[in-house]
Amino acid sequence: MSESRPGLWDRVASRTRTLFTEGLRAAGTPLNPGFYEELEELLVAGDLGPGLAAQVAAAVRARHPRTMETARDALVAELTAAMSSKPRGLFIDARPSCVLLYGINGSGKTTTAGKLAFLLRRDGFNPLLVAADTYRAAGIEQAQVWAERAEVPCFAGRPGGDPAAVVFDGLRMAASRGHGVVLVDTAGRLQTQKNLINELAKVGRVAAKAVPGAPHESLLVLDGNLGQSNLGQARGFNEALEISGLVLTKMDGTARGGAVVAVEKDLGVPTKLIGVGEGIDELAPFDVTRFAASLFPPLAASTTG
Amino acid sequence: MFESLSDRLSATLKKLTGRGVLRPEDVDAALKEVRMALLEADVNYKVVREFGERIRSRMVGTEVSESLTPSQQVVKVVHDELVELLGGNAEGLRYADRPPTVLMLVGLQGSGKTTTAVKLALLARREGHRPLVVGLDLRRPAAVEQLRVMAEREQVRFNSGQGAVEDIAREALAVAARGGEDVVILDTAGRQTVDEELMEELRRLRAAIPVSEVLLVADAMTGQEAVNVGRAFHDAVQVGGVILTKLDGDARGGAALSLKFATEQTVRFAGVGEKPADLEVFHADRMASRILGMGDMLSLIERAERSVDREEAQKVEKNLRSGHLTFDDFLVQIRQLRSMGSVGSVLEMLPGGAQLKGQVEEADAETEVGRMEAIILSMTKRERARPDIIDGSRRRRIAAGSGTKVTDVNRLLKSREQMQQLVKQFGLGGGRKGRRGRPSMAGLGRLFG
Repeated sequence: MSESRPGLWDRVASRTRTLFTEGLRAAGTPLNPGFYEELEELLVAGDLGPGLAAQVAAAVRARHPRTMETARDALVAELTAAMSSKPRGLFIDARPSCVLLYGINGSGKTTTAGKLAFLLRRDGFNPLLVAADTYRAAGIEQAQVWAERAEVPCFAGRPGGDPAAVVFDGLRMAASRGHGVVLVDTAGRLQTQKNLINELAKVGRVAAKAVPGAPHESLLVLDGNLGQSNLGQARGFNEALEISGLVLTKMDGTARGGAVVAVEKDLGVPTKLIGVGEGIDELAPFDVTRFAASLFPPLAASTTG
Repeated sequence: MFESLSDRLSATLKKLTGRGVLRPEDVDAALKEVRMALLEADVNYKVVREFGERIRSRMVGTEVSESLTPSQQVVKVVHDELVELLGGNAEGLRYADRPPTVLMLVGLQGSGKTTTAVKLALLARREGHRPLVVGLDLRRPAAVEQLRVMAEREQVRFNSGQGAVEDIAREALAVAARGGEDVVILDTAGRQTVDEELMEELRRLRAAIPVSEVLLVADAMTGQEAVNVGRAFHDAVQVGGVILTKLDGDARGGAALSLKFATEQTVRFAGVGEKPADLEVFHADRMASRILGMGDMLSLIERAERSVDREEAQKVEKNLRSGHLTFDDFLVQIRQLRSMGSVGSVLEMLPGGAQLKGQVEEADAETEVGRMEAIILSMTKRERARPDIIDGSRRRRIAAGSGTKVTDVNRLLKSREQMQQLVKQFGLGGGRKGRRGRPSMAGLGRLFG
């Protein structure tokens, strides 16, 4: 998938910049007493979680950086090392490929589906959006609006209908009409709602019956504003339907998104997409180096931020 | 909710219980655990720091009680501090002295404003008021439609429009005045993150109409950012209270503490499910008890009372008294049980229920109730009213119709008989003018047992 609007990563970086760079600067040089306590606290503030924050801070310390610049480089290296080493591209070579989006209520599934549909259409994949959120009031309408914005066709179920059946019909239709990718927008659910989690597992099984190998991508959508509960979410959803990748959303503003580092480390799944804002093209492939650098930008560059 | 925090704290405090005296190093060890637990619960690190200091000073302080062991004392200190930090008990909805009461809901996208708007409307109605919900989120696709559908489902009056939100809100107030609605709930637009454009819109709206109270709706799973979110909304539109949503997940909900810290306003309500009744008045002491793993029976009782339809209950009661329990009565009971929320969310409120929840196959219990409902729905009207006529061939048909086995049908029939026996015994002893309460759900409990 090609790069979206060029400024996306800059926008991600510009907001977190103040927090971390100012924080690091206040901590002084790595030789100052208390530097690593400050660093650890900063990482906690970035939603990495207390355990991982302590690990990363200790790992940086073990490298004995003597200047701010080398400390920053060590930090970026350690963050990168903590994240998944699996490929971050989407597996959408099959025809049709099925990309399933799932997650808790309000995490940004429908918005992501619309944005991804737009990018894939632009790249010639001829996507079909399947609106399978038959539960939420107006959930289908919301997906239809996004499909219109992305200028892709939308296959929708009936409100209250069986989502697995909608997915099955949508996939069969896509196969017969030659769509390259089918994006499935599912209803939001909490990982503690056993019945709904089982329903999700069923959607996955039924998808495989409609198109062999489907879903080719099972993307868990995570809200960048959320904290350590992301871990519990990822574990819960992963049990029902194995996660192939993460989507980190709402990453403009002051969202930290550090919780994905913890999720990647815990489950070994890579974040594949990052979303900011509400514009149709505001979704981009995830890039570990740029993400780490956005949390801790090079000090020279950050003087303007 | 808050399970992990409670697990951690109980584990820490258990370690302390084993020793006779609380030494300074014990306090340090306990504080370290408390700090880690709070951070993992997503309490903002600055709040954690403050909490730790307060705990330490109180533990080291002078209040030595003769009647408590050191470990009990720590529990008490942590509990009291949590209650205090959470801001004490909430008082529910505040109604304006001169109607209408105008409630403005604000918050980030996906925090649950629209769902909460309808939940609040139902709460107001339960308390004898006439609510009107107003869709002002013209940005998110189909947001207004979502509110309309949900409001219609609950027969709550709904209003919206096109153009500037101030104008729509003013018009809605006029509509409420004409229609006699005394509680107006405004569902405003969210943004993905705090931005100036949104704040400006909210400020304009607040200035244009007489808002009684601004309620900040926030996701219980919010991370460290909660403090900034709370502060930004509070600075812009003076938040009067917080509503914490999605507390039925396993979110540890540290955001509750962070938001209180940022807005200096208490959490007033907790959203605990997707059903319209799943909104609870926030009780800091109960929440603190839950945090410490001491259960929350009071909330459970309240939820039961709210879910039960009085009229239907009385109808069932009448049948019970006549000694003839029909399957229609059974169905009413099953549905009442279900409307209380998921088995898990009910379990969680029982003392020690959080642990129990891990052991009970929640899905099994849900399936069992669902199966019973399916079996009854597969019966004809006549069969439901006169279960005696259900013979072998009818049983096979009912089993096939409900996708169950004949043994499942048999079991249900037997349960009804047993319940009827119980009722008959009760009926002989019970006076005609007994309690006018609802029939007990003991019979159903038996089925699960």
